[in-house]
Amino acid sequence: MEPIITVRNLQKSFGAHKVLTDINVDIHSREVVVVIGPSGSGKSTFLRCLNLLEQPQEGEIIIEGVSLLSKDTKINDIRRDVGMVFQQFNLFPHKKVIENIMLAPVQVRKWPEEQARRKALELLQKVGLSEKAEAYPASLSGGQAQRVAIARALAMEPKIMLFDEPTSALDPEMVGEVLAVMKDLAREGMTMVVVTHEMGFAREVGDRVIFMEQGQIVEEGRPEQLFGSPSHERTREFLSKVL
Amino acid sequence: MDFRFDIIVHYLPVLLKGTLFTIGVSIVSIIFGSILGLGLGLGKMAPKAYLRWPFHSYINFFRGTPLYVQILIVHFGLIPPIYGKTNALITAFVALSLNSAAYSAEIFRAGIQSIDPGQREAALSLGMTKGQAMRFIILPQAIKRMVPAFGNEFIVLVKDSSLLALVAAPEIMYWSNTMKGQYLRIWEPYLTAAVIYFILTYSLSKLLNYIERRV
Amino acid sequence: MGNRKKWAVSAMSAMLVLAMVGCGSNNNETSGGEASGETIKFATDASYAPMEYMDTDKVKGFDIDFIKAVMEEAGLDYTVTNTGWDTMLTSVKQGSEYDAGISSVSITDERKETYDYSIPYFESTNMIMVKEDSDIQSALDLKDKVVAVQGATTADELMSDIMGVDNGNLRRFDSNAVALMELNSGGADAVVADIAIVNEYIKNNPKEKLKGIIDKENFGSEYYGVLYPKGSELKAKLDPAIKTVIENGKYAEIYKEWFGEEPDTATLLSAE
Repeated sequence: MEPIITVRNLQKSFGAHKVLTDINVDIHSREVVVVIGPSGSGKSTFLRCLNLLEQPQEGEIIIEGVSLLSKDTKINDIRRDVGMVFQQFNLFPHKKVIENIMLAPVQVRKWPEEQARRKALELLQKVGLSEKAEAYPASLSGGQAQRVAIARALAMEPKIMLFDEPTSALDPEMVGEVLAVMKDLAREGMTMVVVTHEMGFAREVGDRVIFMEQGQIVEEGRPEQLFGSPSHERTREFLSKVL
Repeated sequence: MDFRFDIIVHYLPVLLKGTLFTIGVSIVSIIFGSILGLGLGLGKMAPKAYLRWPFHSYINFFRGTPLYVQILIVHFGLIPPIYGKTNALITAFVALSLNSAAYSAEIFRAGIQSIDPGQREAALSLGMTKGQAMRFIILPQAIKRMVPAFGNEFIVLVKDSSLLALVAAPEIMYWSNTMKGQYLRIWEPYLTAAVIYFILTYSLSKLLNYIERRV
Repeated sequence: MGNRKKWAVSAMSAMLVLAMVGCGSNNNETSGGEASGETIKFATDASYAPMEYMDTDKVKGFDIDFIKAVMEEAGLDYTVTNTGWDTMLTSVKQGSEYDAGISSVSITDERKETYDYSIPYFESTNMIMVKEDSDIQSALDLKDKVVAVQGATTADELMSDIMGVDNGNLRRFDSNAVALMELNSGGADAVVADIAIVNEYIKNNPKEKLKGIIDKENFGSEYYGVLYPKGSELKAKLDPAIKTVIENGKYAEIYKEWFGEEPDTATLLSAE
């Protein structure tokens, strides 16, 4: 089967500083790929290249058969189908929770207001926050805010979800509620690329784990293999520090 | 010190007319200035230097030269070729709007750049265009932060409108100058004008405080 | 910062301060008279050529030459300083910093409520200036026209009487220069100003195709006086000297120098 995401020879630098060197990855539909690695390894930049929040200098990214870096591609059309969840949630503070979720379906997908509302309420129920529909983001805890952010991304009915360290800004007692939502999502068959430090999540939910360092993919494989018997010295070193 | 209230009373009707003129011109100019200023502010944030240049130049010119001279240029240089002759009312609107636009542009730019880039990224990641992200996400938040700066700009604009007396626009200062000419007295016309401007700007700042609390 | 740099900065600052002090002390001033005793200080608004104006940093004009003759006659030291109109008015009213003002100030009853005046020293009349093809013939034709004047002049006052003080078609400008420009730019149908100013302007701008209209019926003569604070003793000292200068031919000499014609001194002396 054709992979849903194909990345070939991806290169990215900020000025003279090379952040990504020759990245090659295939991700298949319904796959959950977890990207781990020390901070500064380029894993977040890699993720942000997948919806062109970062513009790579070289290489190719193909999502559902469409080349992102081709001049004819409208990136907005791709982004509709690729949801993203940020470390800092990035909820819109001037809009109520329900409005946060409804905005893009109404403005981008041109859904009728009613349909968007129904979808939003359904998603709020799914993430366990029905009672917060009329609240403003400022009144939410970190865990609640991140669950709303996930619902907001899901409202566009994306085919792929990108998670950029979704639990790193949370107090420890709130990490579980967010991971639970993500596990549900994985179980339903969502294609997910997750950058995280949560090794437990990677081991339990990931179909594949990618270990990155210094802008390169050092090693990838099934979680039990990568965590159980890593083949590279650098992977072993990293895992010994975080586990 | 002798202070002649009788000549103030004599001039009160025209001073009130002048006050209405000042209020009208200030309101119209802050509105047009803001609209034009938003365009200029966005232009100044254009990605390419050669695109930014015209906006830079406009803002630098209007911030860097005296309004006094700008009024003369508009009155005698800009309006006659377009309108066929001079007209103080048109000069009043045009000169103040153009001037205020330069300051508004900087307020918009600063306001927009003060919004966390994550807001824009979140909007784009949902498939919104840059325009939609600006309109639905960035501007509504930025404008909230700009209210105090705009209030300040509005107050400055009200006081700056006094320079329009230069081209005989019948505003507050114009009528106090007329009073001064008739009686050759200084304090009655100037202090009266000051009191009127103070009432205007003080009410305005109260109104803006109220708006600031509400948004 | 290196020592040498520091020196340069200090030296430059010192020079700047000196230059500024220098400017402040001697500018805009002219003085004369050799007799001892007090110095009489005159204020003027030197922006009304050819009556009083600045030639770079020197005050010049008919009024300045005239007051020189008067002060020589009176045997008093004096200075004339360009203070601008508003400062002249306030400081002469208070009578502390300046003792008198000479600035083509017309004598009117309303102004007499606040100031004392010398005997009249100059006769003037206002004149209408229009484009050559205009059908305006007298001041009364201006009633429904747009008229530009310099604010706070007798032209302003006369036209306020004819058109109404709050008539929007009467446009008062900061200076005659701007009023004249308004006429040239098509924003006004006519300018009303002192005869000397209108004639000078028409002479200097033949390309503008302008003409002057004299209307003796509606624009009567008006007289300029030296401005004193209320109750000033200076009036008693200077009025005889003014009279002498007008009578002994010195006045006519200065007048001819500035305007190229003989003054009507008989009318002037009988005007009071």
